[in-house]
Amino acid sequence: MEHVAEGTLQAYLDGELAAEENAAVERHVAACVECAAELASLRGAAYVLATSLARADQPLASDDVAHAFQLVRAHAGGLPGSARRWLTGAAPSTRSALLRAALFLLGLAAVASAAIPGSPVRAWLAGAWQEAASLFSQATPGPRAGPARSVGDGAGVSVLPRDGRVRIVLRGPDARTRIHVRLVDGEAAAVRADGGAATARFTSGLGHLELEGGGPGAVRIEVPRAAVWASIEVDGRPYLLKDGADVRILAPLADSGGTEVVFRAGAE
Amino acid sequence: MDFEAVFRRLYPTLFRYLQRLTGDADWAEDVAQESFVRLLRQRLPEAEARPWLFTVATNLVRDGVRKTTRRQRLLASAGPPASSIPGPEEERERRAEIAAVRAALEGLAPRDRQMLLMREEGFKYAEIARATGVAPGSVGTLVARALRRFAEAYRSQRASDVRTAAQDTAFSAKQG
Repeated sequence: MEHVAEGTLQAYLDGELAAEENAAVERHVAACVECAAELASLRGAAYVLATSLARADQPLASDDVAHAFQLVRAHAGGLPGSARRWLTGAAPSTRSALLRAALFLLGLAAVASAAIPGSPVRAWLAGAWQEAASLFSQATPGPRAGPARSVGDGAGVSVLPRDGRVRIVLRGPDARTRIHVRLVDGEAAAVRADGGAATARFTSGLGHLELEGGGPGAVRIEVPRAAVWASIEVDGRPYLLKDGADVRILAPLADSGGTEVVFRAGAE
Repeated sequence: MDFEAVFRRLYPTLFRYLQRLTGDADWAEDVAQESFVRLLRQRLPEAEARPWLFTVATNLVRDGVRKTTRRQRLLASAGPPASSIPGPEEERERRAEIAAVRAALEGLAPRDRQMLLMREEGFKYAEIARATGVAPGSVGTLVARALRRFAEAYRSQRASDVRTAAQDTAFSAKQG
């Protein structure tokens, strides 16, 4: 008789087996003294672990939990606004719901105007629908990776913030790449890569845009003023943080002036 | 998701895991709090928050992250109720128990220690596999072997404690 593997016996004890496998183990153990002994030994070892750990634990008082929460709350002072809102339980933004409502209304209007052939309202609605649908597709949650939309000789992608928050991440850019950042009035954040940087791989989702790799060139980032919180990070290091109206420059500037600031991707 | 509710639900279990992992309650508190501060930036659904917190906390311990100034625990200000203060014999027994558990845990490879402690907190094999980087199909075998090693080391340590205590008693009797 082939014995049940040690790992399978353990998985049986831990409730990790599917019903059929579970029943097979039970049938085998009922008929096999050696496997029954193995199972008892594993059960005994698990009991020793559970009871000895419990005896050695230092209990945590409810006061300790409350105090720990106060400390975490105090730490959150330096966090982005959205994190603080989560901490204080404030309601998230309803932007996505509003966008859906707008599309619904446009849909209703389009149906109504269909009854009037040649109506100029109909032509306007067609354009408005396309624009809104494009915004909505950008607002669909979940990351997507792939080639970026071509813009001239470069490549660019834009995303809408999620709950007013947008995070732009550059991973492994060429150290010589210059990163131009400016605040814009629109709703969306945009990243455009030119020159060698246009070979970077773009990944985007609602509130998140990432570039990976790319040769030396220029990356132009537009951060919407309307974003409640925005960050630009390069290889895990924050370069710029926008928290409400407050914009903090966290890496040395290579250049600045006019309407933009410029970093070097390989900032010291 | 209400952050405070998540904190109240997950903090005690994360603290217990970390205390077992490190053997140091102050360090466990520091790391647990730091992990929750980091969670605030993530805004994860609760189902994802739990494994995420444990993984981040384990990495913080592995990287030796701790606060530079040690915080006085609340226990110090209040102190235990008089009725719960252990006598010398109970205190010695408790110290021996803690020492045996620590020795047995520290005799395990860090990955095995993490696996056993995550299993004690009710994580499924798939979550343990993701957190430790092993194949899901090998978790059962690795857990079984680590459990046996722990139990053997613990029993051996406790047997040695009993022998030492018996020798102490015999020595005291002779002195008397």
